[in-house]
Amino acid sequence: MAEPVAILLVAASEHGKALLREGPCGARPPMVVLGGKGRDGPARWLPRDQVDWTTTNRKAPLFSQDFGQNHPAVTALVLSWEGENVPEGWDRLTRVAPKVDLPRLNFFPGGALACARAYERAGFGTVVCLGTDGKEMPDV
Amino acid sequence: MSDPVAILLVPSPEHVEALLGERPYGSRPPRVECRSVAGTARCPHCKSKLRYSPAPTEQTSDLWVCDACKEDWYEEGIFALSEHRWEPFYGHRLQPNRCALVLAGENQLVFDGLDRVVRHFEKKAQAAGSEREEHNCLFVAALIHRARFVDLCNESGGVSASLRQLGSLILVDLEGREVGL
Repeated sequence: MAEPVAILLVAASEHGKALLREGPCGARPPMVVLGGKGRDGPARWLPRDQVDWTTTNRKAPLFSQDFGQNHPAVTALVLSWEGENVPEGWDRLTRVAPKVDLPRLNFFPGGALACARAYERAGFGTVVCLGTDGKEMPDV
Repeated sequence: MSDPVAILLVPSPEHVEALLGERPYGSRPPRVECRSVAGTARCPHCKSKLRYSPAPTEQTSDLWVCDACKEDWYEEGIFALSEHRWEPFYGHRLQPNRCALVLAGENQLVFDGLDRVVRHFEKKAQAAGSEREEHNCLFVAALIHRARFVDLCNESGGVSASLRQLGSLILVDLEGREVGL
């Protein structure tokens, strides 16, 4: 079976604020947004600066600094991207769950996906895997 | 003298990108910038007080306008002629000695900033030329990972000494003014 090239965590609603929160002085975790490239493009998980934010609704809060924590269903924490672990994503995840008996990636022999699944089972959110074409891999 | 409430690390030029740079997917550390205070900046030509004009977009720069000379100045041109404060930085252009990483604020550790330092030492360990150097970097990374607020304030402690390998540490008060220990 093909290996995912990206591992994302779509935060559960009760953890969205903590996982995707912007920190002081502009600190921001690695996030991707479910959005389209152009009006007819299919929705994909894309880095924030690649999403076409064009909207006819001027009141849409798309540019707000706290977009992630206000829209957790369409924002995901990046744990791995292009086959590489993203340390800032794991840092945020482990800081949010410091008291929980969950594995740390550095000390987990099963790899990033298995480690992410442990956080999923603990109720922190839903793991989404992306293939080389950028599409979700539902069966991984 | 005001009490310090925040601890900043001003990286040496070679560490600026690693410690302050934005990562893919918009990830960025807590950053501040040393800026001229509105009302204290003066025109280098006629010494009149300058009017602050914020940049219209993130890609352009703020301007300081002299209404007497009808000249516009960038921050660099008037920096030496004004009072300064450290303020949150949301821009893109990192300037050595003018931008800093926030390690602690409001008398608490800022983990997003400390994690960036820890990861930097871990990367240095991976690129180390000797086993001893690798161990040193990993030891420092572990030390900073477990640091408490008092460890950062202790000027002669191991944590502060390790952080000074990357740049200079400064303390600022609630209004962003640099203060001594």
